[in-house]
Amino acid sequence: MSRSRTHPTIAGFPRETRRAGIRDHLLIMPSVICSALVSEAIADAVPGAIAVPHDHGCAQIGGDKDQTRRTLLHVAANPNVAGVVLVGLGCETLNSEELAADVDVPVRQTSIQGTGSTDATIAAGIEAAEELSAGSAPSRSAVGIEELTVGIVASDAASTTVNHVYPMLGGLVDRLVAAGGRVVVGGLDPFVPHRSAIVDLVGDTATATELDAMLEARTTNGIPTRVHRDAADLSLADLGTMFGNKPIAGAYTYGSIACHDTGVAVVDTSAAFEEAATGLVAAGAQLIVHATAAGIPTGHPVAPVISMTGDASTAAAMGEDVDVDATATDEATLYDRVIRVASGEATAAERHGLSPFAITRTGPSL
Amino acid sequence: MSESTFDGYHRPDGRIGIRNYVAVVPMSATASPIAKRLAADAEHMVRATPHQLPLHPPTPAREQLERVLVGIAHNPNVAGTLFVGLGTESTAIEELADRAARAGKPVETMTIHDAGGVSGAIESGSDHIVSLVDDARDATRSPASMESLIVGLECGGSDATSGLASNPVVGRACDRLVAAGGTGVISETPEFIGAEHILADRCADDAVRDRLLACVDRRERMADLMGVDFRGAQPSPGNQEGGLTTIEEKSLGAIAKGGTTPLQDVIAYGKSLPVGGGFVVMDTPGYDVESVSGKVAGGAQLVIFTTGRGSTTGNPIAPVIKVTGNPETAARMADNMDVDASGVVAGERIDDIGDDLFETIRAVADGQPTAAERFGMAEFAINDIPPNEIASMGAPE
Amino acid sequence: MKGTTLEDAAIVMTPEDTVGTAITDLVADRTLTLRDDHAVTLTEPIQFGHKFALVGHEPDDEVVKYGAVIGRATTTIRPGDWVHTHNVESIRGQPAEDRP
Repeated sequence: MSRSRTHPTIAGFPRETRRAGIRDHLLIMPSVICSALVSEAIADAVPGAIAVPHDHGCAQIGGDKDQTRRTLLHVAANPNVAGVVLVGLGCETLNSEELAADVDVPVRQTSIQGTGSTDATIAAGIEAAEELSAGSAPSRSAVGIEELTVGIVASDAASTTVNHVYPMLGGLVDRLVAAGGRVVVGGLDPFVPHRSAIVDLVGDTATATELDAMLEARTTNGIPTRVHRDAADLSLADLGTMFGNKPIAGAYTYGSIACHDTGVAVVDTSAAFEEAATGLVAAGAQLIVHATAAGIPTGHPVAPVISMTGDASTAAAMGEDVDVDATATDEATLYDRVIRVASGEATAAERHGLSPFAITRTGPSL
Repeated sequence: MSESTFDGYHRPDGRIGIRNYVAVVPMSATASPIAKRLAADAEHMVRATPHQLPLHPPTPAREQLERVLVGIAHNPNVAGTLFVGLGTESTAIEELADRAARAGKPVETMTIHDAGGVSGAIESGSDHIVSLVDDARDATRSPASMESLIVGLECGGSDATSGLASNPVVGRACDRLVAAGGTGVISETPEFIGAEHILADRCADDAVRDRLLACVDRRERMADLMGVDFRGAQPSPGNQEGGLTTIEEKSLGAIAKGGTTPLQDVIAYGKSLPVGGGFVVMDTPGYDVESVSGKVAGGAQLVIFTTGRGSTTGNPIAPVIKVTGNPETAARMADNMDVDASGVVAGERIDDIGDDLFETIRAVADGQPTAAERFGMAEFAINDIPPNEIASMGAPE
Repeated sequence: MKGTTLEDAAIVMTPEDTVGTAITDLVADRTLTLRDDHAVTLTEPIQFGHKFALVGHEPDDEVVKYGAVIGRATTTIRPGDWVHTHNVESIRGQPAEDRP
């Protein structure tokens, strides 16, 4: 190993074929809304298990169905996931048995129509979850920062976020990248009004073309969001600070796994935090930093979320739910916080446990 | 009690509830987990309606969302409502509460911002709930007529027996309900494709007929948005395993739920359904959970849900009666099924089983729990209108 | 049940129908008498709920159940053949450019 001694290590969960986890979750994943409550019941009964209930999985077609499928599979592949129990109904479009066949981590599968009842499925799911966790006594050991993929999303383009949080995020990106780590940035809405300028920050033409197409699609979908409007008045000098001083090294569609070795890349998500977080987790982020002027307190089931605000009044009003007040800290402290959370320190959202799981749709339910 | 009445909760707006719930209604995906937590920590009569719509949906999606949220508060099964928000949603929570309060039932609001964060919100939300539950407990059941019922008619996990047995049985019960003065509502517009000519012939007038055909056409065109074939989703893989080959075949079986009486109206997703309205259609996706939620937001107190393959879903606000026409499902999934209509396949009369189902409707209205209620199944989802639909097709009517 | 049952083994919903539906698992070579003058012999096993042809269909011929068109044949279908997604497709719900 040629890793510089000047970089800290984190205490993570090494994985054989993936990057190290910073949490060790047994994921109870419904393939469809019809098995969401059963999945939650299974997770409630098994220590260390978490459910990712969602509203989708049936009456979907084309790219919309593909995106939900890709997202579920890649959330399951996130380094924080030790194993997966897929729970289906049986007759759904995204069939649990077929999904399970494409999951690369230890996986079990059960379905309501397969077992014959709600109760039998809960029992089968608990048994499968216990089987997966049997014999594994997860313990943390030192791993390098190069194992880390940090997700970043700003859920608004408020002036406090842009002025106070973006520069600190840029500093965080630089430190992580210097240590060999990766960053994925979601929430493309603020960049839509600054399309050509942001594309200039990209390092290679292939990525530039991809990013341009993503922003173009967000433009032609035609519905200006609040974030678009707020961001239109800003300068790129402000917006670009979030990416630090390295070129953008990749642009990934929602639900895809990030494959750049190091550096910062973007993921095609909206600024809606719950959906953006899932896109970042599917990309491989083990940890998410969320810039929120409004003090959105929610976490994500799979990755710890560091909630960060640049709005002093939000920090004062929502103090216990805000992990980092950008007006009262510096880059070194933020970086240190990321390392500590990666090593197991609980975030505010992990303490209160409110962690919705949402997936972006690209088409109507049929 | 006579055969044609049940004991229900008489609400201030004159509507009749068949359950007595306090609804905890989140404004956004962000507020949904706290609504869920509040309901889980409270007693059984407190029901959350979590969903995944964001803080700031595009206008048509936001208007549909608001209609559904208000509709939940207006549902006669709801005695009182707590709206829960982050506090920064595009929807003004106080305006929404004012709309909801027009039904004359208690409505309260709470935002995470005003409560100073999550722990404050849990404390404040719990206090609101205690007060709403106290009010709700004052309601008691007294006799009500079947004409006060709005019954949602749904199918999910269909197979060949749906069109042969369970849906015709539901159609008979729908005819009985309409004859008794009530309202029967079919929905799932994509499942009219190929059978709309039959429904069109039953429309009460040309205006209803034109709206019906326009809704079917819009739903059929939705697949074009995705540049693919509708047939990739319909019939679903489970439908096909169960013997359903084409959309047309599934639709011809599905519309049997609506019985034989004239089609009186076509109502947009989540809009208020008429009391004493006869047989009507709500324009919803075929996605069953979103479809049920739309009808419940429209005021349906009860849902009949046929399933050949064995769907087990319920709803937080309305009891869901599961009917299967598949003998194997009736046997294997007996715990999750309420009515076995598979006798039709063996030669029993549709009308006899339909009449039994009508009696089951009365009994469930009267308080008898359904299988989904016993299991605590309470799936809920609100239909979103994604940007590409709005951009290429405009807002729905 | 609406329709006509055949020997407690299958059902035909209306006289116009070109397919019948198995109401029990049926073995190949079974002969079902449809009307006095007409019988159909199954060419393959038919699962409960699945359909078989009562008459021959050429490609593009309409397939009728419930007295209504449920799709069109994509291949030649002989009387007694299993009728499903391998030899019938929806006419409706196609992409715009293929829509009739």
